Amino acid sequence: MSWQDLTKSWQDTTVDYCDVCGNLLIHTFWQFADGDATLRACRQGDEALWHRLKGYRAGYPPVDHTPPPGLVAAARD
Amino acid sequence: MTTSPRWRVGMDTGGTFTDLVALSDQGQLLLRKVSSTPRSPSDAVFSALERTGLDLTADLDDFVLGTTIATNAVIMRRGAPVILLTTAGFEDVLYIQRIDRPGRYDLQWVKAEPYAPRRSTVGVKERVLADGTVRLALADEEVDRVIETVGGLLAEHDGAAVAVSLLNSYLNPDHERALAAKLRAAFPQVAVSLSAEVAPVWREYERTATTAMDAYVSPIVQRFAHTLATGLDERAMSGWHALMKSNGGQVPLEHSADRPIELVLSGLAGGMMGGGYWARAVGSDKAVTLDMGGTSADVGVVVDGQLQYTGLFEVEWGVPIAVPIIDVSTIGAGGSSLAYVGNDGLLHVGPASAGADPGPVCYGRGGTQPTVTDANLVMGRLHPEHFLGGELSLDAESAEAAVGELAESLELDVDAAAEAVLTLAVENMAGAVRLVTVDRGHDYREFDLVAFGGAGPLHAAAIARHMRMRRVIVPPTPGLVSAFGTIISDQRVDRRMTAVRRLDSPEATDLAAILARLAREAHAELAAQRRADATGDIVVTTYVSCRYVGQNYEQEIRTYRGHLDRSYESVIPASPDDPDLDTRLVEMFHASHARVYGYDLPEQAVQSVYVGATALLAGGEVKFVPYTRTTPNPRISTRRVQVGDGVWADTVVVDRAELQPGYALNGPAIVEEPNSTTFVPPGYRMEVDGTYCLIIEAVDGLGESLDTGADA
Amino acid sequence: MSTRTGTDVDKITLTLVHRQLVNTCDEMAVSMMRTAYSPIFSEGLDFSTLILDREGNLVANAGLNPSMLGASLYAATWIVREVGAENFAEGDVYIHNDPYRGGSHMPEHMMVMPMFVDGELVAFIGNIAHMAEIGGMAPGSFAATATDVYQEGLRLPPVLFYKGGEPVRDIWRIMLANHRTPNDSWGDLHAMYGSLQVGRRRLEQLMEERGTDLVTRVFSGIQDYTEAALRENIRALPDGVYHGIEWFDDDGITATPYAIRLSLVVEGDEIIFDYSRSDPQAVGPINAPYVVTMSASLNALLYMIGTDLPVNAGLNRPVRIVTKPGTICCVQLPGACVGGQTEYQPRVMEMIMGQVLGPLLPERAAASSGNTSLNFLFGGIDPRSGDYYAHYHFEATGWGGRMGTDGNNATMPPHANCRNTPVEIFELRWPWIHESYRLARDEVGAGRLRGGAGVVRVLEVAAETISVSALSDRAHQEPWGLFGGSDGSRTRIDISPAGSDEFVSFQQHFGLVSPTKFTNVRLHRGDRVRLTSPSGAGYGPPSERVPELVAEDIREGYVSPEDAESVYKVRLDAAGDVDPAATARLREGTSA
Repeated sequence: MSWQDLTKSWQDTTVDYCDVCGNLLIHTFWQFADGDATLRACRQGDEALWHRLKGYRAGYPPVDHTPPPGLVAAARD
Repeated sequence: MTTSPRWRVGMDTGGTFTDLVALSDQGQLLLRKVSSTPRSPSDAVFSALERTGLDLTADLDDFVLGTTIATNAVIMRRGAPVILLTTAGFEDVLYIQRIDRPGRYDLQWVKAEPYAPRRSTVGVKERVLADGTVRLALADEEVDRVIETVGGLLAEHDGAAVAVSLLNSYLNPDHERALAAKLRAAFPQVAVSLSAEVAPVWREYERTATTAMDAYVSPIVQRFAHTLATGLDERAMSGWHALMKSNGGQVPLEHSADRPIELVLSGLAGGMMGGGYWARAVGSDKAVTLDMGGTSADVGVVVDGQLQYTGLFEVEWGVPIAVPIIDVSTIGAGGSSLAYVGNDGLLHVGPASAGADPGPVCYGRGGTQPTVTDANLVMGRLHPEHFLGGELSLDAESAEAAVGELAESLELDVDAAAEAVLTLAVENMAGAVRLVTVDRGHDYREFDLVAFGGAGPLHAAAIARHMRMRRVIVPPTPGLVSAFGTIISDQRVDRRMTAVRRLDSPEATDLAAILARLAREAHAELAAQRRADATGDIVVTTYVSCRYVGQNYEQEIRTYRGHLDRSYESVIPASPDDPDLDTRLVEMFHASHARVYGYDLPEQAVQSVYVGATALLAGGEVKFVPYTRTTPNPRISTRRVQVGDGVWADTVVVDRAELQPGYALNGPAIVEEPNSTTFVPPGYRMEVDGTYCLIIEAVDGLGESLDTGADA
Repeated sequence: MSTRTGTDVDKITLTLVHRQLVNTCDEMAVSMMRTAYSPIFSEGLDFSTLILDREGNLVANAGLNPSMLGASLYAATWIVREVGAENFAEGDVYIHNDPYRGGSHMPEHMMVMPMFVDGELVAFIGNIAHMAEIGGMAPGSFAATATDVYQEGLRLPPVLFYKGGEPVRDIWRIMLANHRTPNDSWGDLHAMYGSLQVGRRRLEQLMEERGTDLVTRVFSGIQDYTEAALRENIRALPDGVYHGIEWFDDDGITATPYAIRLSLVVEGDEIIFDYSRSDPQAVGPINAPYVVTMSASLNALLYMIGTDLPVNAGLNRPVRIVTKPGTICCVQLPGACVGGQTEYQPRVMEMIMGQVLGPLLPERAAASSGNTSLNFLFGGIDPRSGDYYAHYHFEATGWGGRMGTDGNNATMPPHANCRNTPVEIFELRWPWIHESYRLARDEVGAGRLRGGAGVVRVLEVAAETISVSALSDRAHQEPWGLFGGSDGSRTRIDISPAGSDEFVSFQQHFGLVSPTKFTNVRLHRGDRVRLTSPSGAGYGPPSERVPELVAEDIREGYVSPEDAESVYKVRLDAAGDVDPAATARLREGTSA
């Protein structure tokens, strides 16, 4: 629930990602907790977004893992 | 008077009116304006000629006509059926095009229809490679098969023409020529267009599209030229008879169907030439010409007195013509452009037009949708009784009713709706100005705006203010500048082809020889067409366009300008045996690249792409007094006019025929003459200069106090 | 984050100055197009020119290529924040192509130059361009079998390319030493730099004329305007959650399909694109960095509800793109991702425009286009010159049918807007000979408005060897029809070895994992390649197509007489004209 610094030395060219949206974290991140998990976000508002999305996600239909027929046929070949 | 005056007649066919200007060698001026007769365009030409009252059999030295016959065939898709021959395997070239599109976010965009349908396209088994060598020779049996197939298609399609465009024919035209010889022998009545003759440039889509369009307009141009020639013969009309070409030059009537593609912009070339003339006359180094008539507005650029040219013109998005043409951008914005609420709920003005028939609502000929002219009438900028010198009285009430209906659907009052219509028309024209300036590296704010055509002077000040352009220049008799422009135009022949050569190889290229050949061809064609009474010399200009090897766009390097017919070899610096041409081109190209783009790459190889030659025979000088009733004290009246921002003001109205050079007044003001009306907004000052042009400038700064421009 | 203080610029001034900014970008674009070397950006127009505020937020662009939208919106802000605004100096130019720092994929290079007035940083001028060759495992730098980003070419985080107006030669030398066609790179990089100078001159003029203060207020004013207008358009959509799913055939490494799953939440004047349930990131290069997912989402939205909006960073505010790191929609270092831009992006865009928003806005929607760029890369030594060459080639596809019109033939899918290379120029530049380049007329998807045709190109190798690679998709599943329209056709990449008359698929002939994704296959003189791009799908039931159009389709080769009867329920007479009575009977039969 606070802004944190993301410190990297100059020779470190890796990048870090926002746990809420996947965008890059630059220099700072917003840290918040959800249960046991600690999350890093690129915007302060992402904390609210995270909880809002949980509500929507609960209502999504189940994940469809069945590829269309053309792909099924190709996989059989 | 001992000798009777000799007359030069110039004419211009617009979508709405056909205009005539006659100038005598004694400085007299005759103007005639008649309604166009789109179904039979030559009717209007003859009726205008007859209304001059001149003795057509004896008084005329010149008759030059700018015609929209080919333009309309192209735009309205009323050309002849085209049978297209391509290399087998590439029959869809006109359908595939260049695979890109104009806007970014439009899923509803529709690609342009080809001028030759697939079912009239015949693939020919032959193949020339990219170095001009033959991979698959054109067999006699194949020629026979093609001739038979074409015969079948000709039987199905009445009045068809044939276009031939084979791969790499710009390098090696043998197969095209062989086909053409057989086609012409087998079907002597049928027009055959060859890509290697029409536009010997690379890029198969652009070349094929140009060739197909040449065939598409060919029968129509032939018929028109024939009807016109017959009509002129019947009247035993004296003098030289010519049509305007898209390059701003004249072509004698009997040769006009030789290269029909060269007439596609005939109808607007006169306006460009006329605009160029007046830009030079008032000493403007940089000018944008705006020719706004009934159905469209044509916008061109004049730098240091010279019109600009392009080797690639698009008649609509994605439909190119690859022949040298005056660089002009045309939009559907004219006095008769319709104003309507589109499907998006927004106001639109043009490109749909009420044309000459029925015309604007106020013409009282059955038009019901409001137009730009109706909006001007509602705002008091046009006088109902002074239109066309009073020949046509405008019905203000019906115009107001029509604009009122539009206003209702926009939830505006009539006044505001009329002003919105003008604002949008101005914005459309501003877009056209941007195209010919910014896209070509010019800053329009350094340009004057030369405005003419019947409707140009009504809107010019608003455009200039909107775009912060320098001055507005309104030439004398603005409604007839296009017709005037045909009289003062030159005879001009252009030749252009692709010749890709690296200029860094130790051996000299053949560029000098190609230039010499093109120069001779252009010169010879013009010499053959030269009018008998012309006194000047033919001037030939040659150029090579170059680029760094790897680039895709070129810059034109002029190599020669001179008199070919005196002693060709001795005056042309780029003569066939000039060993230095390549080196000189390279040096000039580096310098040019640095000048235009801010850097050059001296270590990089340079190549040529296009080479071209232009032969020019200058038209004679003209001298005339445009207005003969001028007085130091012109009559001034006033009327209520909506001068912008919803403000109605008492506005000064003067008759242009009475204004002497030096006369000046401040806006708001209206200058009336039979063929046009000029509006001077508040904050602007107008002065008549020595050439009788009206010069309109902002009084101080940019006239910020009031905005009649767009963006509202 | 961007400032949103009141800008109090009147609307006319705002519109005018903004248009001048766009014109400046246009001029930068013309300069770049006319001077560049790689055909992909001079003929292909695969570039964008940008003006950004002093934080790197996009203000105006001459975007000739929609697929660069995400990077245009995001890459510069990364550069500015990573480098630190205080570290820019007059005459500096940074270059950058890192998909792990806001870039789309590595061939696209961005240059950014700061602009100062009276010593104060006021703006950035930028551009993005697709360079044809940047090294990596395959000529043309489009390796379909790359399994990490290091195989895809030379990666540049934001590095100083010009310092105080002078080239930083060490960086130039590193780049040129790693590109296969350094001469083209040399020309392209100069074209990009030259266009920045054009932009700077024009922007300086504008600031002189209008005052820096006004121009910078327009910077934020125009972003506010776009935000407000987009919010208004979103508000017109019914609130709710809408779902879509799309599939990749495979990733080039394993023959496994990958799913992109979107749940789109409309809530008042805001939209959330939630991609978090998409499949884990692929081994091969079909993955998308976050900005590509952003690009696809915003582009789709602009097509559907924001057609005429000024494109700038204001677009980002009412829209939130949510992905899960480590999925195909948000690849994590060091995942390969060169195909995200050209394959993933159209797949996602058209899913949104057809499946997800199509039912809400049927008059704006379209059935699926061929929906692949059919990237085909090749390189080798040209026997005519002895020079090394490498080229990045792509094909047009057919567009899907729309409410008012049939799909366009042979047009770039909606995510891109590039030109083809004319056959005559193609053969001058590279050692191939075309046998044909035509439309796949008989493959269009049937519908009330039918799909447009893709293309078939047959090429013969005219050198001892040419090394070819491909990165495409849609070989196993046709573009989908909409509202009862039929599907389009599939991508095929076939070969006919020298001396043979038969074509077989590359996959079969060379024993490849994927029919559309392979790297460095060696071909020899006389081998012929046939590229068939997919044709578009249909919109609405074929049995509702105007019968006269079906008759015309037969004459023009789009529909067979058999399909006219069985699919379109149209019967023709002997002359090929519609038999109205028989057609009516046929059609009644179907509706009964």
